[in-house]
Amino acid sequence: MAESKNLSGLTDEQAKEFHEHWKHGVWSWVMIATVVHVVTWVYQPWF
Amino acid sequence: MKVPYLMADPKIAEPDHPEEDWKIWTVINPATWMVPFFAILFIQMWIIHWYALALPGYGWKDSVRVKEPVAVVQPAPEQKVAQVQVQ
Repeated sequence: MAESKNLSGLTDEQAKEFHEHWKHGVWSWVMIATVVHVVTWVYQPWF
Repeated sequence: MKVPYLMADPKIAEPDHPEEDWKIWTVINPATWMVPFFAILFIQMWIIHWYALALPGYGWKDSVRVKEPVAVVQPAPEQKVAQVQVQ
């Protein structure tokens, strides 16, 4: 089947590939933020 | 995970989450929108940290932890004591 034209211009494979990198970034941010929150809580609990 | 769509037309595709989250990139081109998205994240970051560091106990303003000054009990200095006027 000819490559389906998506709104964004990315093919489905490109979208899936980019999403893997996106997920990697989101989880890295979540992990780092979790560590920082734990350290901040140890320094000073906020409630 | 099936996410309920309020008032949505069921005939329109209902993507499954998170299995079909990647489809967002068939609508939004990250080459165009990733940087603006990060700019919004930065603004949100500034707002949150501005608030958090303003909280008592956080930020440079409260970074120096001084020992609580101990209340010192001592007699008032002599001249401060009221003198009784004998008429």
